[in-house]
Amino acid sequence: MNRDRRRFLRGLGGAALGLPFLEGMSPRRASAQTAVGAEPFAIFFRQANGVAQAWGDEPERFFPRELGALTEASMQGRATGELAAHRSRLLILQSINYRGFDYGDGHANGALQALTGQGPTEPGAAGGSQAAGESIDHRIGRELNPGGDDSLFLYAGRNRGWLGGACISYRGPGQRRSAVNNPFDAYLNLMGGATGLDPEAQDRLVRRRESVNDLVRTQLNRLRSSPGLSTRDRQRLDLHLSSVRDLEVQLSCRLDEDRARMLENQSPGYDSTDGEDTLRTARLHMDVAALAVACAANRSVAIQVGSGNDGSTRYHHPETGQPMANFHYLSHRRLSHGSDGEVIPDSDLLHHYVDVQFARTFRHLLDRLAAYDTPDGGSLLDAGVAVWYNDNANGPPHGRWNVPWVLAGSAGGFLRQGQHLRVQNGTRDPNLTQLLNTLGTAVGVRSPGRPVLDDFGASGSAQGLLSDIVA
Amino acid sequence: MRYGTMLCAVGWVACAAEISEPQGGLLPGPSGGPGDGNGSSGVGQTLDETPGPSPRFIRLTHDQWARTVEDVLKDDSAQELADGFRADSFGAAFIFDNPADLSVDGPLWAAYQRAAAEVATRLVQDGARFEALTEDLSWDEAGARQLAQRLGEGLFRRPVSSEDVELLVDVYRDGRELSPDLAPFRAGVGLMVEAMLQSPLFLYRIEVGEPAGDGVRELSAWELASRLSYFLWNSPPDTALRAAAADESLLEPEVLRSQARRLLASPRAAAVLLDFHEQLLDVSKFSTIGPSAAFFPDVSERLPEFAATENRLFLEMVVQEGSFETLLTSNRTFVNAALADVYGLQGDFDDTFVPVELPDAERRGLFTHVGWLATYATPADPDPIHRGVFLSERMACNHITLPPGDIPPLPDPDGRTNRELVEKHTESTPECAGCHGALINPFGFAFESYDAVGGYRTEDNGFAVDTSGTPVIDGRLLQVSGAMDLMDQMAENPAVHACYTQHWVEYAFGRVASTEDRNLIERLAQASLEGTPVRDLVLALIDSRPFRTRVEDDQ
Repeated sequence: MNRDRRRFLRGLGGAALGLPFLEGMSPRRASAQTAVGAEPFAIFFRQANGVAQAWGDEPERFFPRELGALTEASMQGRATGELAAHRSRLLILQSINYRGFDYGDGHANGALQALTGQGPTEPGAAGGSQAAGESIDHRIGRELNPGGDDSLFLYAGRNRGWLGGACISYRGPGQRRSAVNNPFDAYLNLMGGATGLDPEAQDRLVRRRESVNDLVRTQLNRLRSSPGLSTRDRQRLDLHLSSVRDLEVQLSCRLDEDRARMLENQSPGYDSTDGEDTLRTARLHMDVAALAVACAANRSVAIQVGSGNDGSTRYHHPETGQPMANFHYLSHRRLSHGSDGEVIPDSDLLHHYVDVQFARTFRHLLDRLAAYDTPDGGSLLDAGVAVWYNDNANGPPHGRWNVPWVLAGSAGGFLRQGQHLRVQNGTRDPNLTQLLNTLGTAVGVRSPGRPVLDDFGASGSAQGLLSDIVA
Repeated sequence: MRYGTMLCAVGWVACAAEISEPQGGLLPGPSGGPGDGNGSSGVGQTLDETPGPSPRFIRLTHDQWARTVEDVLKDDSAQELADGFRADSFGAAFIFDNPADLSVDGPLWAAYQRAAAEVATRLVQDGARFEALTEDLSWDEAGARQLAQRLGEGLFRRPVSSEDVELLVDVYRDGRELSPDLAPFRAGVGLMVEAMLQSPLFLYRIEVGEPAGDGVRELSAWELASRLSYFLWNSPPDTALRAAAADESLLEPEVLRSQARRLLASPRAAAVLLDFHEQLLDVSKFSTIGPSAAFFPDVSERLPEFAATENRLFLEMVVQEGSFETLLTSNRTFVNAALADVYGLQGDFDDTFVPVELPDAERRGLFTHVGWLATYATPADPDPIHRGVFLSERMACNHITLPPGDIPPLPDPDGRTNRELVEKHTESTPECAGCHGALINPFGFAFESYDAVGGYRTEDNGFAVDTSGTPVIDGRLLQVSGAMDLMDQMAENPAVHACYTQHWVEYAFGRVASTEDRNLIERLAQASLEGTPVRDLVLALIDSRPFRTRVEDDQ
């Protein structure tokens, strides 16, 4: 632990809404916490490279065996079977299709389109691509968060890599957001820095921040009003200005000192090619995400694992414990980021092993959310929706038809539950934007003057809701 | 307008493009030549060189934040704080880490707040450092006012206006009341320093300039000092440079050259020159080297680390005394015992890296070294596609049209050698062969004489390797017999030098090159082609009109 954080943590104490005690945090106790509110929220968990679903000679290893009501038997042995304990709250979707925009690369088409519903700002730019619009996580945060705060954008994996690393969340056309890599930093950002102090000290801290912020705002406004400023420079200063917030004392959004220290000590593995480290980081991000929605500090979170093609992470073989070839190689079925290279034996099974590890990680999020009670006696998971989705449908072709989306939670009863659906009668027509509109509507975003959100995504895409998934 | 988009075709590589006209846009054609300058930097300069678009507010990179705090406040823990800042998102197609669109969002602002508080706390609690900083000041408001001016000139890289001094003194007054556990002067200064580290005047390099006609603005002496210092040292102007800014002598070309030479002579500049090449060559990817133990049982597990060390030592040699041609063609390098084994060198080697000359018949330049070769390889075989893409796009600035989005399953590979396998996979259909046949594979096939760890070989799977090919550079076919021939021809090719100097311009200005940069790039390329050392190329860039100016803001 570095010195400044030690000093910071020394100030913590008193009552707090923390994480529920669950396995991994405290194996000896199991008790729930009560969330501050039950406002609908969305948490997006992103996996790259498709899943090991049926393709060519490769068998189905991901989706449940049967459509309709989810049963343990139908899910057993499939990657989604790892979520069977939550099956009554799941909605597993087939026939979610992306558009074939001219990104020049299947990873870019998936990673940059999945939450934006948009094509590229520049055709055919592949690894240099940028999405041409805002992402749904940001839209939800902008419209529903107190003060229009940004959604949380959290990343686990190596910086850089294909598509520059963290790449799924956009503020607007070509305006890619930076992600927070370190879960402990995400936590510190969440709590604002004023907890654990006595009221007098809190008041002094608030006044110190106000004094500095007054100077910063004065100088930013002066720079902003200087003549001849370009649009880009004005936007840069506007974003800066909007980020300068006076301290709002968060009494509820914090961990006790032991668990804060545990979070910090487990966080340093975030910049790793090791799959265990990477998914551990993702779980810590999920802890922070769950805390954020439980204390009503943020209603939208995007968690990205791995770069645009997750091309450096080596997940571990479940039997040997050894790192497998990097995930992108496995998804290609060859020791190559391209089409050459040695064939990897049983690589569709190895891809499935990776899917299972992602499923277990998603289950961690669902466990966390389910362990919070809401004031009305329900579960926090029922209040919002947690989404595990992919950039691509499958391995080698990195296709855009039948991309797996797994939803958990009904967003307060808006979404169907306990089903494995093939939407729109198994169409291959692009329908991603309808899904994004439905998710936005489910948590409370509305198009101007409309009762629902129905205009999100690129022009020319199918609009309106995906009625199959509405309860 | 952008040109020469850098594209990396990692992914499901197939290609539907055909060779097109040269895409670089700035590459010198047959008549390309040096400008008719006055030769004062040894490379000449021209008045028809114009600045490209650049922002007015350029946020410090995280490293620059740390270096500035270290230099001005003598805080040696600043880098640790900056390492904790959230990573910046990457600009499309930009290969360097100082893009011009850096911004301050909520998470970064929160991190700045925490870091500023930590730096200020350390300063006021560090008796010796605080007293050294304030020993000639009265510990009262007048002293605080003087301190605001003194620290402000360093942190803001310019004199502090009276308006800003008063804003800072206001904060000082608040601070005196808000830290009861500290003496009032220390408490006030602490909050004032916190404010200075959150001020936009600190967080942004601000370039406004004065109108100089034709839509161009001349940078002020202070703005020029910052541009120069952050380019060559990644740090704020030191005392001597600030003095040259204060008396505006820096606006005189000979003073600017003199200051640039002084800075270039420092180890700080050597580190920046090294950083440029390491980013250009994507050296961070060396960490992904992972040869199969089954295929290469005798290769050290520490090969990525050793390869990076070799690469660093070689590049230090290049930037110290060499030219771009040295990088491409020198057979000198540095090895330890593990690398000597890969290179097949005879002699006594141990863990220490020592300078050696690699066999003339087998090696030439950095692209025949272990690091680059093993990075662009699968665990078992060379990867001619990605070796080819790298050389073609990044070193020759070829534009490769990208593969279609949905590729059907490809048949199992069939061939006797690695080259045959790749050829059959990528050149058997016209839509793939268009790119692979001329812009990708021939660059990579030239290196088939090096295996997946960079070892030299004459056979592959029992058959003689074929390293011949006809790569395309600047729209022209080259006949090459192998890697060394390719390196020799690239070292003599104007377009390759223009590609290299284009990257220098991008690094210096922190943005993708634009059409306005063409003349500067061409002049530097001609100098590079004539063997100008890397350091003198950098000096020539600084000596150019675009370095001293900026374009009027685009509304």
